[in-house]
Amino acid sequence: MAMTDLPPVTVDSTAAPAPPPSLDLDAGELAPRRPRLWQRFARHRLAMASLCVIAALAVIAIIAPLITPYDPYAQNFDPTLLPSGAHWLGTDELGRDELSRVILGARISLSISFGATVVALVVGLLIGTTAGYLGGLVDNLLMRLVDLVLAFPALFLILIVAVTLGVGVVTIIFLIGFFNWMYLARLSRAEFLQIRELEYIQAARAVGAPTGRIIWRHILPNAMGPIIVSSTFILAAALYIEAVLDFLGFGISPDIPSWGNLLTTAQDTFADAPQLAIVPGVLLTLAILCMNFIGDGLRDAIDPRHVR
Amino acid sequence: MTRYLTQRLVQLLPLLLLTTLVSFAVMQLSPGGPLSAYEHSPSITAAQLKVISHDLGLDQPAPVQYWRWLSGLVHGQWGYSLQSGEPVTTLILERLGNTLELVGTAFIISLLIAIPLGVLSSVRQYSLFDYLATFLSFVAYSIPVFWAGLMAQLLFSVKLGWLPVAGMYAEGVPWTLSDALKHLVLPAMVLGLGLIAGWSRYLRSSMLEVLQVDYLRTARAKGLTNSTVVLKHALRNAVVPLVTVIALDIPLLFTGALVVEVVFSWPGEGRLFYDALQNRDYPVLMGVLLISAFLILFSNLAADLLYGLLNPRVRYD
Repeated sequence: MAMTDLPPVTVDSTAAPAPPPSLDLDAGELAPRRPRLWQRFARHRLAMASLCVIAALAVIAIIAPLITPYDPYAQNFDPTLLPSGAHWLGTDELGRDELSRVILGARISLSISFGATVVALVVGLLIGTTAGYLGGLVDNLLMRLVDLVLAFPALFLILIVAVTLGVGVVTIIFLIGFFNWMYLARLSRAEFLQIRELEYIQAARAVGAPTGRIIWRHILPNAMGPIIVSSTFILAAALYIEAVLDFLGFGISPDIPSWGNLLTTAQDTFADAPQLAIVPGVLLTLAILCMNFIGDGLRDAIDPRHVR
Repeated sequence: MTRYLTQRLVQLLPLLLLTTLVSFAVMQLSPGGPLSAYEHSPSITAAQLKVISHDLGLDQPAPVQYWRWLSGLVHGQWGYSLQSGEPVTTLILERLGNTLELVGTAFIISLLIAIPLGVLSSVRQYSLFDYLATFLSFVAYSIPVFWAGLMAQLLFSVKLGWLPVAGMYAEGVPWTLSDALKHLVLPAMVLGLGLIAGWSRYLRSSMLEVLQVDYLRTARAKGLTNSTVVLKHALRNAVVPLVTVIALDIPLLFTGALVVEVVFSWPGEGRLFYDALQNRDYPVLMGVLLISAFLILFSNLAADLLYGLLNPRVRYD
């Protein structure tokens, strides 16, 4: 695809349509590789099943406002608590329909963990690639920064900052992201250190490709495998951290029906309406479990040497 | 070895210093500063506030404050809780025993379950047992600790009534060992769940690697029984990398203890941290944060050293 800069190849119009030579090169190298990766992933049956579950949850999250049977915030002053025909999962203490809240919760919890992972990716890649590409003093300083942040339990730091500043949906995304980029930075640094010494990078440099292009087009795509695997696990971790923050009461406003908040509320009616404590927890575990399985499947697919 | 140790300790020093700097910064985060509690008090005038702030050295520039705070830290002056007025060190030491009881029990239970699980999985690779253990490990690893705690309470305490819901002892009755154990078992199991999963999976793959090595074939060829080969020759070698993982997981146990102690009302360091969060008791937060950072750094060091001690192939020259 890097060949698009070349002048178009003129083909004799009377001849049979020959494939353009430039595209042929790329296709020959890439075409068989992608399906193989996918096939390897598809062999991991649990990972495939997990992918379907996560896809289903994502669809529910996206169309959540359309499918909630009730307004998730509407209170009913005659709470039924236990499941009934009208309220399949019962209601909470304030008479809000639990099913609607769980559905909206999928949207809130999943988007926060997704957003936090994106933040972690941006910060981690920025720091890791800078360190790995520049090396030397910059590398040393940035890696000591990683060491320093890793010297603290992330959850403790997040909790302290959350208590001090107070958090909303947007701040919690950044907060979780800012304390989960360290392994991504280490990983991308290691990949960059290794790849930048390869011959094709030297060739690109010799041809005069600018640094930004070398990083984005030549190194990053080849370093992506382990980074994607790692991001999947961060996705799972972020979902957990958000739920813990909500559960401890230092997360987003308790009115917002994130799965973590639903579990906090459920504690008050623990013995009377156990389904309130079970359903959001099962969904949370299921989502985390599926993300971990997907990460495992991707790791196997990307690194065939990894023996299970 | 001694040289390596000193070298590592010297490397650790700047990092330790930086962690104190971060903790100091956390203290500075407290909104309105340390005297904000007095600001709205009618009995204290602005002039008095100034005098207090001068007496405490709060009008000094931040680097001077940091230096004075650091020298206090070294001499065991960790400040006083804003809530109870007690020294932070006293508060932390008071609860250390309770946390160690919980964390230590979880640690031992996890080891006792994870090692046989990992060995069996590796010996019967791809058996039904292996698949089931792998699947359940993933589940155990994925369950949020606090929810596992809630479910354990719901099942064993509310529904079955076998075990107490929370706390360390029954109220108002003399201490008995069986009562203490009954209170301990649920939180310790919940805390150990993720570790059992992680360690058993790690030992399994480590065992699988070792089981293919030549000296094990020699051992079998000598006519040793299968169990001797597996337990004496393979396990001893496979456990070496696991020791490193275990050392690195120790801080994780203490972070997990925060959540478990809150769910089960266990009066330990985690609960102390949680209460300090609710009261915005920054000196206590700083103290627990700093201790946890030291714990992580020394666990990392221990992991490196243990690996070298247990693996004669590693040389420190």
